[in-house]
Amino acid sequence: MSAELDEEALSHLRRRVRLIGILSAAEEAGLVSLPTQQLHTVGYFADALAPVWGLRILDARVLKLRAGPTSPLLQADLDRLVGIGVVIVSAVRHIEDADGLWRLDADYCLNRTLAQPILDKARTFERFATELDFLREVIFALSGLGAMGILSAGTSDASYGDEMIDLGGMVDIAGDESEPNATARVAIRFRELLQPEIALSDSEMVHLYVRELYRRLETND
Amino acid sequence: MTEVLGLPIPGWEDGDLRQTANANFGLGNDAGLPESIRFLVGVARAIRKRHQEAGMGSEQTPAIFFLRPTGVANVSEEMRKQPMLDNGQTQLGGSFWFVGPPVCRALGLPVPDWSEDGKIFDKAINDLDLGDVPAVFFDPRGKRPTLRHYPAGLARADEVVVSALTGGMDIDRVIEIIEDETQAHLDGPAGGANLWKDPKKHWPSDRAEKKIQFALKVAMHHAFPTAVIREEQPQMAGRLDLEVEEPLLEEGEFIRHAILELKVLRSFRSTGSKVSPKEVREIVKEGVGQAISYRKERKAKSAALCCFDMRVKSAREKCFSGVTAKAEREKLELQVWPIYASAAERRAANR
Repeated sequence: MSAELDEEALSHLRRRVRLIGILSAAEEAGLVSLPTQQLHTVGYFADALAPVWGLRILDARVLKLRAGPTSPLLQADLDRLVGIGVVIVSAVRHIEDADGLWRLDADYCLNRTLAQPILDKARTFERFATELDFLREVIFALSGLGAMGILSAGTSDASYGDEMIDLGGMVDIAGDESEPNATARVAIRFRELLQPEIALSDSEMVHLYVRELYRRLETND
Repeated sequence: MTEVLGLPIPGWEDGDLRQTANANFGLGNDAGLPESIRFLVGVARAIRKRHQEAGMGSEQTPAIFFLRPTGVANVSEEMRKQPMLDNGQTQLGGSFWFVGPPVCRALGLPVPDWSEDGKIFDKAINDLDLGDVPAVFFDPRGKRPTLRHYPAGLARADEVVVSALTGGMDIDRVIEIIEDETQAHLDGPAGGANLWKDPKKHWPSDRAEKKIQFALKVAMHHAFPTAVIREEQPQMAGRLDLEVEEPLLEEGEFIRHAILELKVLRSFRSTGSKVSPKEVREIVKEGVGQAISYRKERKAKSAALCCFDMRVKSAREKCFSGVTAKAEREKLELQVWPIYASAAERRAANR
């Protein structure tokens, strides 16, 4: 019982540290505040690409909506971080999304005073340090798409863009060790194609995957 | 149809993926570098991509890149948002570019009249208050385009590092960079590399090799911003330590200039247990074999075995005796640098 509780508590902690890491890296890349949908999309990619770095997926099921990947779990974590003052919310508004649904939207950024000590402490643990490095690369790679590009990145993604999953359905990216989700498999495929001439690093695979999404988005335009 | 781990992924063709990999050679290789160096490397890659897409003569006017992705507030005109600045499609010259360490998303501020560099610098430093922001000045006007890296900002011209966008990556220059980096940061405790577990007892850190490898990777990137520096490439004979590659203008083509095999020579392990002279000789012999083998496997132009001698002074015999003939025959560079456990030891050695 106790072990289960510990695991659950750790999972909560990791999800929150991940959100703080995402907003921190976004700021470094010049995306000072992230609107709700972009944040959900970035969170989705942070999970879908996690197996490339040998990291665990924290939120394996997202809702497939026209607006993009949407995770109730991520929103709950975000609301909690806003509640304790680590994340600052601004430009709160009602918007009608692409599915014709009215929902609350806002921009999110870090309260550095409270967030930095959390990040500094997390970095002292190897597991969290690796996770933060990974998140940095995911955000850095996605930042090149620009705010609008991030919004539409999901549609071209190997997992979320799967035409076999209808809008309103759940996208499951859990996979397993021998068979990761389609997004991670495509990213890993870059390494397989270049071997033995070059062994790509984990970071290179993430960046190349996002460039492939970019190429597809450009082609679709 | 792509097949990964035996599973097909419809719609993801290998040919497309190869094309993306070739078009973005080295992208993401700069992860983990200090911010200022990653910024320099990113600028160099954006310029190389521009040259690839539009030709070497496509850029005639300089540009200045600033490591400040949020741009500047005190300008009358609106700054231009530029996603994927590094896709080769955007004219770079004649602008101030505000970027983050990855140099992809950018804000651009056009500089309409670039007739005098002095006036442009003055505008950046005094009008826009950017004098202390890390910057890279791209100058395409000479015979060979250059990058001038101002890690402490344009106002600190005394700290500028100039590098060419092509060439110069021969083994002699590579060794020179290792030499400079060793003297600046590695060979004494004041350098900050923290290579010792207990310097008084001459016990090196068990991570000394990793720390040296990382320091040299950073130094190589700083000196050769257009290069791709790869670590730990798996080979038949093990994993090579560092590799210097120069991407060419043809997409996916590159020259593999150098393979570097790094060895730390110890009198003691980090636990305090002794390392015998015989073991040290074996380590050097193994390093020679690995470096030669890696160079052949990787078809690199040159290779070097770089030893960092952390042994006590009395043990510092000539470490390459017995392997020099083989190294010469195989055109392998052999280099050794002493790493001192104290400032006093360093001073005494340099007297």
